[in-house]
Amino acid sequence: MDWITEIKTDENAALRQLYASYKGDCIGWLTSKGNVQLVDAKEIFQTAVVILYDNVMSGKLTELNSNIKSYLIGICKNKAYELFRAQKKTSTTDEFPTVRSYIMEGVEEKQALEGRIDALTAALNKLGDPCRLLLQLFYYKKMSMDEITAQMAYKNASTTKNLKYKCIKRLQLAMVGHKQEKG
Amino acid sequence: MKLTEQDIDLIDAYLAGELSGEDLLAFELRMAGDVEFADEVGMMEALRVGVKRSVLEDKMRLLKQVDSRQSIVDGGIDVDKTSMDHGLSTMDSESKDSVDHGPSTMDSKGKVPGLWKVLAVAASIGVIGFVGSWWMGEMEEKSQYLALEEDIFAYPDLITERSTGEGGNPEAMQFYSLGDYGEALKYFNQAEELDGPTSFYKAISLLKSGEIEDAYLILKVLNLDGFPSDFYKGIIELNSNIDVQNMSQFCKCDLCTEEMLAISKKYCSD
Repeated sequence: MDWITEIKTDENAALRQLYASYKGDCIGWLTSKGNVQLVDAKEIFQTAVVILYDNVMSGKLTELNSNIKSYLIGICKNKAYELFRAQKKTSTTDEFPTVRSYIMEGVEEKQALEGRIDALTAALNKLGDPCRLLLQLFYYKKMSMDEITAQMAYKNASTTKNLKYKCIKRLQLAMVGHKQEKG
Repeated sequence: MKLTEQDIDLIDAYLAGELSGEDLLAFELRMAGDVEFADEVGMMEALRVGVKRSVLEDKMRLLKQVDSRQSIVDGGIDVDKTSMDHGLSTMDSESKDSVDHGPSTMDSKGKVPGLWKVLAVAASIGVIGFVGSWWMGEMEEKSQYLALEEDIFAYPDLITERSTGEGGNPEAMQFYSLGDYGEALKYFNQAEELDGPTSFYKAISLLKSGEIEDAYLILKVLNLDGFPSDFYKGIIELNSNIDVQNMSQFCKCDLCTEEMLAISKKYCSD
């Protein structure tokens, strides 16, 4: 099965299938050889699948030199395990600390942006859909205004563009509120 | 705070590495000389990372859901296995009882005759079959329920047009159009009277805020042309395991978007 194409075509279905197919292998390795508790092993494996997804979507992974199972176990063994150990050292109230660690890995000037990213993510989640989805489609999936208009069934691209602008303004407002609360 | 739509486009282009030459120089000069603008650029940079994080966290939630579903199924298999074990041990003890106490069903060597063995095995298979089919039915219902939950929450609010000027409650509609349903509800609730369309949007806001019963009460009495009320009513009814009152309208789904049609198709036969 060509998992990269599957992920690009129907991402949620592919991720569900991937998860179900390789859960036993990866979690089995983590719990037996990695000496990781089951609940933590699940979190690591889930993060590994999400990292694979991100690598496919960002274009970092265009073809697999090994099979998908080896690739996933590789992430489980190295990267996700390390991330998990790193996050164990820091106390955080994040819902998904392993994802946060992974995200922050790729950020330059971490210290300057860290607090802002946390606040923005929280504001974005609070804002909900359609803003959240629209911004995800534009900034993460790099979809054009026309493509987003079609997917979200808006009238035209200028409506979508205007909504994107409003969404960013609302996020800005939320950020000001967050600053005031903290200050 | 003075960020214009053009500024956002410009910052997007800069952060995507699409500016070059004079445009890039002008942008960098502006950043160097305008602290507020530089701060906005920082905000937009953080936004891109925050959006990526929100996508990946959504995928984590999806996988956790897959995991909990699998756990339900795994648990079911264990239950089934236990039932099987029970079935077999029942058969064993019955056979044993027959051996120990059966007066005339034993042959002279103390063995259970072949016919009784066959009957005992058949009875056990029957029990296992019954428990299995009951369990399969439960699982089917459970997975349908979970799928419905996904259907309701997988998409924004499934409304094709969002108008901030619609109805007699512009503030509520402003928040509604931005997907801030909680805030929209505050304004909807303040209004003494709501017209039909605004009531519909209030119902959707309630639905998206998890107040499904209240949403249903509104949709049930709403007789409104031009809005897909029957679709939402039907989804809530299916989700609550009660019969869809207006199945034909639910399946017809006249005013549905493609996403909505895809949902209703799953529950409607051709």
